[in-house]
Amino acid sequence: MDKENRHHLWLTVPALLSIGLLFSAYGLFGWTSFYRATPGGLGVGGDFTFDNYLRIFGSWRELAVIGETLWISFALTMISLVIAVPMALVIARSPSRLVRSILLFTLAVTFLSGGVTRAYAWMVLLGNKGLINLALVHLGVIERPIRLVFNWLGVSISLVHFLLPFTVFTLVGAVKNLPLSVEEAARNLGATRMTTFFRVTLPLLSSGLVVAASLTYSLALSSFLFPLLLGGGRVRMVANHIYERLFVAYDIPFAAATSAVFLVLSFVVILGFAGLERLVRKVVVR
Amino acid sequence: MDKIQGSSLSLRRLDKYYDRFHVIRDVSLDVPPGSLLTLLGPSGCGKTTVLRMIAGFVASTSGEILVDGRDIAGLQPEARDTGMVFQNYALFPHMTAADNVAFGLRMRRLSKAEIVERVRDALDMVKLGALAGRYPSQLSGGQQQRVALARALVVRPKLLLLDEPLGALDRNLRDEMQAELRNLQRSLGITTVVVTHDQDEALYLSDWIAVLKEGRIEQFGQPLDIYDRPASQFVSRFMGIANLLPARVVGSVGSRVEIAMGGVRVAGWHPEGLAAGRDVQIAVRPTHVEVAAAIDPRDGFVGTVSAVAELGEKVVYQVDAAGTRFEAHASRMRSVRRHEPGATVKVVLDPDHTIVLER
Repeated sequence: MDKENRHHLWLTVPALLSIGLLFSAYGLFGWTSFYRATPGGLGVGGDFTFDNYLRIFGSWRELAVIGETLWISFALTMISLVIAVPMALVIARSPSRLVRSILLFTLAVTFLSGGVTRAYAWMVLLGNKGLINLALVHLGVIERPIRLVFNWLGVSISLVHFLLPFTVFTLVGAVKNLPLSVEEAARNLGATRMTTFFRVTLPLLSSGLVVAASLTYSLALSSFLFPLLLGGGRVRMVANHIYERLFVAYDIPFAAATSAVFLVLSFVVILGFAGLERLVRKVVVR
Repeated sequence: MDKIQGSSLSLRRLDKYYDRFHVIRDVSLDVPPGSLLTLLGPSGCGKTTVLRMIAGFVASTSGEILVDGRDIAGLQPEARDTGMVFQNYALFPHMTAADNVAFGLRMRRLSKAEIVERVRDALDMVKLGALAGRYPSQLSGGQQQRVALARALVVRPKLLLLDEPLGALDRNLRDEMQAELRNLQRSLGITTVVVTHDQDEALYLSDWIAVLKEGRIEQFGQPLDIYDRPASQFVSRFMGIANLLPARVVGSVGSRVEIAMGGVRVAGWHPEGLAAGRDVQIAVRPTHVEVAAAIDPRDGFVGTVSAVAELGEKVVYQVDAAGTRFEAHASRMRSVRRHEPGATVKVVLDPDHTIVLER
């Protein structure tokens, strides 16, 4: 290594410092998970112990929260993908500028408006006396308002709304890389639109689909605000659970242990996605 | 592969508007079964649009596309029974060469045994039998094109459609593929439409050529017709006629027209003859312009050689005469007298190849 290069290494110091700072915060939080909360206070003390972890793995309730979060995030990811694929195709391919602009604008607005604003907007729409229920009752579709909010349904609706722009924008790039002529070749050889979509378009998009899915999934896993506001206390995802441990039960070590377990599980899932992406790339796109 | 029963192709008054842009204007032509039609023109002339209209990827605003007398203009692409080779080949990257070729047969729900046999035949036909298991990314450009050709032909389509088939290949490969394509098309007897901007390619491949300009057929005819008897300045220029010069009609007998240019009278050709006094343009290929000695007894324009360039097999002269500049090509191989720059010479035009164009 010559002098010039060694000199450049100094440029990484600010980045290393900030990353180091962030990770040491994680590390410190993680370290507390091996101790006990001091009674009645915010402190941490006692001997080094695996108790907190044993409590998590010994309790169905604790495991259920984690399992439910993993499962619901997966379901939300799939729903987002199903909606996002046609949207991305239209945004990337529609010959009408107007159609593209409207779709992009709608998604961008979702990005721009804050989470709290959006959560309350959904309450207004989905509440018992909300717009949707009023309309349905008025039209005679239902007799009494149905519960659309303060349950998993409301949380899922608002979360899909939150996740969709990320999924769509990730996919638009993949669709744009897909040459139209390949699909035309399929049609020319006798494939219907439907067959072309399943035999050519989807396989060639699969790598992009996996990338979009892993991004969507990691965002869904870390949901906090929407389950908090639209869950009405009945819906709890891991982030909410950790929050409660911290600020309601003041049990910092236990919250830290839950975080650690969840972090590791999330990493495993994301690594799984990365592996899947490599596999798909190898099998489908050569 | 067996010989294909060729289909006739007729375009009747095809029109296409994109919003207010009239991109294809009243295109009509007929080609007999088994022949090769080339749509020739510069980029933006609408040739690819016409091809895509035949394939069904672009909807025509009005007009008919008749294959064996049946109008296919309203059908979906998959129902048209055409085989298209795309400019970038558009092979399925996630399938092997064999699977690419088999795709159309699978869509037609043929039996497994028949698919295997026909795929093998088709790949053998394009000399790629040994590479059946390769993926497109493992094939060279020329090999990819062969796969695309086999994929289009294996379904025995009514029409073979080729979009700039040789455009992406380097020169040697292009000459080789050109000959191969022509032989294959002839031996299969499949009616074929080729899009190209290369007039040499068009002349080599075609039975019929339609020269397009701004969405309209500028001239439709057999290759040598178009080469020898261009019908407009545009076609003349496009077919490489470098001398396009103004003149005036003195009189005509049949298709032989006498014209005056810079005080000198020469003869030219126009299909119907033209009335005296009309301002016209003459088109003469440089190979039909002879640079003769000044004392030559024939009718011609006395002038001065302004430049001489020796290019491989030909000598290119620039001669200033009759108030304009002529380009003349002489063979370098024959031992004709060389004229030096500044020399006084006589420019003699071949009357049979001096085309008189209306202005």
